[in-house]
Amino acid sequence: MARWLVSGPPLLYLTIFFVLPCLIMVLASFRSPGDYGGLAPLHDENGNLDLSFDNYTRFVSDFIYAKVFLKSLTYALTTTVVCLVMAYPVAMLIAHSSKKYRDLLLLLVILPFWSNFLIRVYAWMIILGPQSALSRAVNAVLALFGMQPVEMLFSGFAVIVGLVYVHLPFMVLPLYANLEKHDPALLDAAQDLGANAWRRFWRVTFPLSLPGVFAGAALVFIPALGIFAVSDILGGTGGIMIGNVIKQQLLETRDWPFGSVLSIILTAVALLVAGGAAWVARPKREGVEHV
Amino acid sequence: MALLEIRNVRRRFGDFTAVDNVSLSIEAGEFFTLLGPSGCGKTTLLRMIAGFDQPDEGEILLDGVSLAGTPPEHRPVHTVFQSYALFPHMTVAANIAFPLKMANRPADEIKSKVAEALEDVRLSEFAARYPHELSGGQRQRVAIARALVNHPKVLLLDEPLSALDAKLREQMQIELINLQKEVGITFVYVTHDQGEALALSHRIAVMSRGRVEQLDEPDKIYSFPRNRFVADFIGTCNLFDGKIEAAENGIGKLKVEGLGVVSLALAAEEAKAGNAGLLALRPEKVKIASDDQPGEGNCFQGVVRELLYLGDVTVYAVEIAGGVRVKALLANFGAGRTRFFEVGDTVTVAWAVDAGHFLHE
Repeated sequence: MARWLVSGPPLLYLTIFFVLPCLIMVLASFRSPGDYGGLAPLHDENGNLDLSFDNYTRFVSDFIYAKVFLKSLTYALTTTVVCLVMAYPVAMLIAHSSKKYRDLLLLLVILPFWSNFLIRVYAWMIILGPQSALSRAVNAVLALFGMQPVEMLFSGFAVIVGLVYVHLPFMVLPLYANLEKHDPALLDAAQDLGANAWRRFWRVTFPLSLPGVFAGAALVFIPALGIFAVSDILGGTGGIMIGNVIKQQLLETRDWPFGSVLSIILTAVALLVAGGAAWVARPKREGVEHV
Repeated sequence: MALLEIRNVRRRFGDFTAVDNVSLSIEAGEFFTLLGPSGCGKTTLLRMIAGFDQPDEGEILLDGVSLAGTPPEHRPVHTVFQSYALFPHMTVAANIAFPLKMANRPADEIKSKVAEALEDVRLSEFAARYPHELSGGQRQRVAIARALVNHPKVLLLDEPLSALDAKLREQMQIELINLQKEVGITFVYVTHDQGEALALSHRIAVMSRGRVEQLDEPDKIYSFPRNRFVADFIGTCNLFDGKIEAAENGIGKLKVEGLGVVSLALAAEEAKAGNAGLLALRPEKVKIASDDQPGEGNCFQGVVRELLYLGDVTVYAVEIAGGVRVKALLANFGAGRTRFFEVGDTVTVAWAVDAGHFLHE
């Protein structure tokens, strides 16, 4: 009885504010849009239930939506890989630092969260904008090679930069948490038995860090897939992601059924990819054929 | 030429000298032990042989070639770590195959060598298991098999049995002795357990505070300790400070404060009146009896103050009139009685003239 008292309220909360809205959305995906936006009444003029697969068929037949989905997947994947490559050395550095520096370094990683998310993204508009020092330097170098100046802002590139910047701490922290627990004697043993630094990393450190890699990848990939603020601000027309389309459908076009379809498909894809990655990256087992 | 030569090696950490001008020659095929209390420098010395640390002075030579500048991964020396350090994400077979893979051996050679190594340590059925699925003793054996599989010139063992319980430790000690004989590889073993060192080694280097106090075979270390530290560290020993009063025909009279005059067989150079030194006397050489027996050698009467019952034997601490306590060891056989003496009994302790051993400090 006491157990239900403890788990009851959170379960109730989740049911009312999470499960129910999801179910509403699933139902909405089968309904028709209202004349002035929103949803049409559940029963039409004749009293029949107005439910159909029209919205789903529209998604499948109108190829542009699948294209945007694919682009979002690509951006999210690129972001995850870039974050991993950048975060791993940082996490290793922090894990190997002495205690007094470690706390300071972790603080530095978390510090950006103390300021507003949107303001940090807007800052990148300035850094990548045509008037910035960076832009001018890059274009000057390009001019040396006789190439046309590029605009870094309002492009896929800017979106990826923004996504990586925003998600980097989410990759650093789980990696650090994993690396910090590694037994240094294992690396000593590997070295003692003939492994140089490269082999020590790939055969001992990296395999043991896979749970941390996966955790970080999940924390980066799933949010990055559905993001719309970064692509809205930094992407221009070239950087539209599925999150932007959903927002547009629900808030501007006000075609709620279709927006719901896109949301459901996004959730399904994210679950599929996350589940698949979890299965692939389960702690690596290395064996040797034995007689 | 010895296989492993340690010449005048010194290692300092700031003000603290961990290894102080140590020189040792370790022969091929030998089971050599570095024995001493924590902080004596034995582990530091072992790490320098493995290559994880560099001597500040002196050199280490393997087969006549200096190891300076050679990193651990290039030395034909492998270590069995105290915590075993088995790779948790690899099977037993993969763990053992690791050094062979690092040496880029062909796959079929690796397969057969791993199978052989598993047989040597009797773990063939465990090849596909992971380290966390094994018991302490089994992990121990995997660690040893892994370090031996590609036949290093020297195997270093850093207190490998300290994590095992007493019974298992005894079994592993015997296994280690047999393994070393069979494989013929030079073992350099580090331990603080003097009983273990006596049981396993061909030779022992007893270390204290960075120096080698005595280097000898186990029975010589036990019977003829060279100084107070070694006598005290190895087994139990009675240690009495005294001064030689007179010496004649190889027998000296040693005056021990609080005990009396002890007759002691002395070598010619030691037999000089006025020499101060230490009488080292093993308790098993001290006889203890209830009657006042006029005996050969040295006899003293006293009262039992303490006793330590060890199952097969009991060690008695007998207080002599002058205040000194003499330890005597007595086997516990005897029909119907588990002990011979109780605390408070008046007894006589006696030992032969050549039972003790004269040491200078």
